[in-house]
Amino acid sequence: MGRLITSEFRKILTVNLWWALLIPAALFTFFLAWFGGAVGSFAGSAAEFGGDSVPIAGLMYAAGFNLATVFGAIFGGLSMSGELRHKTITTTFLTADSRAAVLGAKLVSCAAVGAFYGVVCAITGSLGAFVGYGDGFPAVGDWLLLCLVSIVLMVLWTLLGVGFGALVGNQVGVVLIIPIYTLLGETILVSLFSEMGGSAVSPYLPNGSGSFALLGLAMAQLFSVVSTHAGTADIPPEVRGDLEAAGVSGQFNDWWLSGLAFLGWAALFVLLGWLLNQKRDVT
Amino acid sequence: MHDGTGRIVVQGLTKQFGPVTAVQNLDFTVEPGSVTGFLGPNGSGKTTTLRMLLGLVTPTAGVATINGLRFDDITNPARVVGAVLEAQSFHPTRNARNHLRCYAAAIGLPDSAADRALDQVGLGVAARRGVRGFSLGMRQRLALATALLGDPQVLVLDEPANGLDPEGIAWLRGFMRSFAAAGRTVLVSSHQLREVEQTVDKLIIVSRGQTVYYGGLDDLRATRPSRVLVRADDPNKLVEALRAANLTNLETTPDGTLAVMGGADPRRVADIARDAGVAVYGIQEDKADLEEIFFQLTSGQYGGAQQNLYTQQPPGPGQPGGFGGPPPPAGYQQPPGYQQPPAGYQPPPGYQQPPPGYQQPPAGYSPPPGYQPPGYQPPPGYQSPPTGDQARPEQQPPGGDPSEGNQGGNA
Repeated sequence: MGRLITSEFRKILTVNLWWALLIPAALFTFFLAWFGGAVGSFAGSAAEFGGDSVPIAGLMYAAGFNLATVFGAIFGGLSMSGELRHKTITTTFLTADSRAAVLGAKLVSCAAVGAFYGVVCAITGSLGAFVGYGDGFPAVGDWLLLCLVSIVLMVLWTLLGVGFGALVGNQVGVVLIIPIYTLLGETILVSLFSEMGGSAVSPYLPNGSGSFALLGLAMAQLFSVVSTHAGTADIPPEVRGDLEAAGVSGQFNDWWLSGLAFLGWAALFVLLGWLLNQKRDVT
Repeated sequence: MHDGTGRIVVQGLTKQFGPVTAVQNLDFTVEPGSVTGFLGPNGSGKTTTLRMLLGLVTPTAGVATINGLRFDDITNPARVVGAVLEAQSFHPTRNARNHLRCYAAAIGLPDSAADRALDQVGLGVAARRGVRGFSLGMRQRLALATALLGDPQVLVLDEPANGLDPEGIAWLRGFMRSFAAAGRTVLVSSHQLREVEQTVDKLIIVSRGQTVYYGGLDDLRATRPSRVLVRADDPNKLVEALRAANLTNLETTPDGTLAVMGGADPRRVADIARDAGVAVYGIQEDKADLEEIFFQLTSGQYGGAQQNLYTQQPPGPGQPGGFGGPPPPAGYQQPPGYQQPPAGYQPPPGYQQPPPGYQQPPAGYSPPPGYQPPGYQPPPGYQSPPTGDQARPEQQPPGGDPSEGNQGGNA
């Protein structure tokens, strides 16, 4: 296994993909954290509500980071599908003890790359948030927790990608399906569920759970400060309305439940990819 | 633990892709110390078989082992078996050296192994070039370098000569021979017998996913004894002399050349002609061409059409292929009903272009046994020649065309 992990790291580092995907991820996080992305409009109403001391930066950071995770997922997804595409998978299987060991080594190496993506994006996201909302930072401990959770999420997204790539086995499929689903598909799915009165599932869908784990944490941090400031535990309805318009809903304090749900999704895709990888005929 | 023999054993191997049976109940053994050719036309199931052997495709039934183990059960398999497969490729932007280093790491070898493998296949100068810019031949060499990384005991090569220039092919032959000479195993597939004829010791020939021949190259050659072609000023006289010398298995080719069948010695034929006072204008020993035998063994893969190798006539059930496939032999031992050639035997025009009887067999004619319609009965005119002492060849490859024994099969 150790041999295969070394091999996988070499495969990653001898091709440009890892930094070609990291650069847009880091830039997206930086600029979205700076300008706030979808939740940017919320900054105004939050300031109105909570005064100048509202730690809005965390929310902006979360919104930015959540887009960068797509790149981690694509990176992971190309790990297996890229080998199938370039037919290097034959050699890979011929030089490995087992297919399971190959996928295991890919999971380990991609998790490491995902962690690196997470750290880089945490740094650029923090910088972006600082440039945009320098006076809206929460306590240092809160910020570090936010960064840690985001890095873990990036790792999970990358692993989900590895499983998804092994499942789909098609490079184009990975590059198209992951962004289309996360950016568009699930939004449609959520509105369908809302029609049927099931809007509560949103924080537990693949993309929703991955996003809300971070966004919910940032919200929870924000509102704990706000409620202390305003002397109320409830979120005012007009603020909630603003949030939902920005696509944020759910119980913020349940962010960790979303995180667990996302862990489950990642595990599911890894498992499915694993099963298919064991059986796939390499022709 | 594997037994370390380097032996490949395939037993009852079958693969079904949906309704298509790619490989059907294949059995063979590949012994170490030899180069075994794995031959068959395109689409005959060679690649699928090799992929099953290497654990890349799961067999529907049967088992394939290397060193007594299924590929999946071999620890660090690249140390045991190296493979060059058709669909194997490289990442276009990863350079050759890095490609090998990735897999050297997977096998647990130092980086120097990558450079050594590159030098071994003569790719040292291209080590730092992206594979994108590689020619097909260079890719084949790199694939071979990858297969050799782990210093394996068994080498499996699927159409390795594809894209190689003549020099590369010669080099590859030498390489396979020396690899086998070191007591290791080489299994090499090809769709052209000629390509591996000089290299292999044993042959497995498959057609339509089934084994049609398995054995030594010489044994295959022996299924078709050589013949001697003689051009003489008086063929009739020569025929008599030859018969008198007990060489009775004779045929005439359409251009009037006399063919002495059954592995006759050309010197003896020449001596007989001299003693009979017949002038010989040319004499030539015609050895069985393996490619033709191979072709006959594997023909009919597509729609079952027998192809005539010498193409003067369209293929059809009425035309026996003859030894090595010349147009149907004219019978010297004329069966009843055969039109006697004119006295003084001049090759009639009909020999340049076979007589009408060939194109349109007379009523009552049935195809000779080479075409094996079920329930075939030899027609009355088709019989052992009057001399009676000539034996039809005993050994005929399965599915082959034995019509060299059919003297006057055109009756």
